[in-house]
Amino acid sequence: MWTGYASTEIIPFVVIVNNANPVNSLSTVELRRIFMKQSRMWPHGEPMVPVDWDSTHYLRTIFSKDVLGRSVREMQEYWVQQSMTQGLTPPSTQRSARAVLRFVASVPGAISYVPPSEVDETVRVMPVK
Amino acid sequence: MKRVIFSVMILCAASARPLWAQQNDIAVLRAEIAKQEVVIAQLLKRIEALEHQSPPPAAALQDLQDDIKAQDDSINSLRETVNNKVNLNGYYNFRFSADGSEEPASFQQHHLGVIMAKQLGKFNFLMELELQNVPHHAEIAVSEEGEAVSESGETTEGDLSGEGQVAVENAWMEYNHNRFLSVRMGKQLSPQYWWQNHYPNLTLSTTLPIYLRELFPAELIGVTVQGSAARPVGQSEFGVGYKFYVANNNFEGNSRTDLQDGKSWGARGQVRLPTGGALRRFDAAFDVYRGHVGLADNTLTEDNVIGFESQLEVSNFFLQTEWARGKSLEQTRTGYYVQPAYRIDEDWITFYRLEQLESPRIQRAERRHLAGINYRPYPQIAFKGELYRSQPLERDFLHAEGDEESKPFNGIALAAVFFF
Repeated sequence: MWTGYASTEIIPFVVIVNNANPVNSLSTVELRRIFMKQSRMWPHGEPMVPVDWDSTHYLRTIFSKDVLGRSVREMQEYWVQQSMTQGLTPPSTQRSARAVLRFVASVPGAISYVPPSEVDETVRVMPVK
Repeated sequence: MKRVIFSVMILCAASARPLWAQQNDIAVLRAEIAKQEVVIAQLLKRIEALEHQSPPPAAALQDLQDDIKAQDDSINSLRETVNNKVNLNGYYNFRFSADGSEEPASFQQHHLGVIMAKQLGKFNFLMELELQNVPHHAEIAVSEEGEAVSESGETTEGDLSGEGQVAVENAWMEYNHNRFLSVRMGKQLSPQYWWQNHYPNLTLSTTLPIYLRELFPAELIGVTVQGSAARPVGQSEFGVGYKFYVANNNFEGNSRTDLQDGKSWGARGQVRLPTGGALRRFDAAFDVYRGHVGLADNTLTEDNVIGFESQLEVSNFFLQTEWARGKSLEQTRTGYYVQPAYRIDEDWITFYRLEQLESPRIQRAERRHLAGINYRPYPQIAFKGELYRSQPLERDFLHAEGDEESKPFNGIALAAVFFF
């Protein structure tokens, strides 16, 4: 479970992965590295496929600030830089929790985040320490 | 003719499909798309059936429409995954430059670059083609015989700073074993910060620091081994990194003419300090380069360069600094820049740069003050404007008898940049 918030606060999102992913937990730093494409492969050899929310969605704003330490706009500038110097593209984006869940459920290496109330049995919640 | 060749190269590059490696991935993804298209067709049928009921249950209809949208999104994502197997990007830079130096004022169709990149498991490939068509380019002049001649006096051929050239600025393949070890081979930019980020939509200023082309080589053709390690510190991390490379010696952007056995080498150590609160970035690095540099008579002489740099970001304040010192033929040349900048809001950044170069090799000693503003209505588009003042420095190695003394001058540079 995402622990950037005190227990009395409402947790805005949980991190989800494909059910086949054997990794038990991640640190915030590892999560940041995955969404900045600085880490590429899961320990079991599957490519990491981060899935982000549309840039206008409130969840993206919160995730960007809390996990990546940058505003959505700063991250867009970061991806321009990465595209030019490393040939990397930003994570693909989805506009709804349903789409995020479907994507993560169907792609073995996928990782994303959704509001806790949206989680279903097609994906697994990844605890973030 | 050059443009035709350039267009053909782009078309060939864009249509190139390394099928031997992608077929399995693409087949799996296409099968997934087909499956999901069947699901969409079924959902559409159900909607049609519900619509014929009277009245249609609104909640169920909405759910189905959400489902369709979700399926559409998933299919789009998968299609995106297939299409993004080869990433195609590029940049365009148009600028105007005028100052009191001997260079005339000019509009410059400065850069048009195309970047093609591909990731395949642990392998990466990146290629950058760049068209430069710059009248009165500050770094290049034409000799009486009509040959392109760089400031340091070397005759160049296919120089990346040449007029109207189509140049391959990057063409490398990389194997990432893990974060501690990766190997990059081919033509690549030198590892120093400005060279790595010299693209017009990544730099705040229109003009390069004056010392840049006179110290470390701009690029290298060779092999780089690199890696990094990090240790978590709270919600941040402490990181270290290294790079070591062996490359052809430098001939002003044309290292293919290096015809000797002894190659150049360089190394870089970098540190990323933990951040927190207002401190958002604190990186520092040290560079060393040992090689040979070509002289006007096509002979080589030893060249040793060391450098230091740091990038600091505190809240909306940025500070970039680089310093380097080179030595060849018992002559020492030095240069640096210090560039503070302030992000006024999301779209506007203002900056100032103090920079200096002292080089007996090219008989130049100059300090420059530069102040400018950078407006980015979108992350991919930048408009830049800057004013600068150049001040010649008094140094013993200058002024051969009969030479006219250099005078201070002011300048202006404007640019519009588009990343696509």
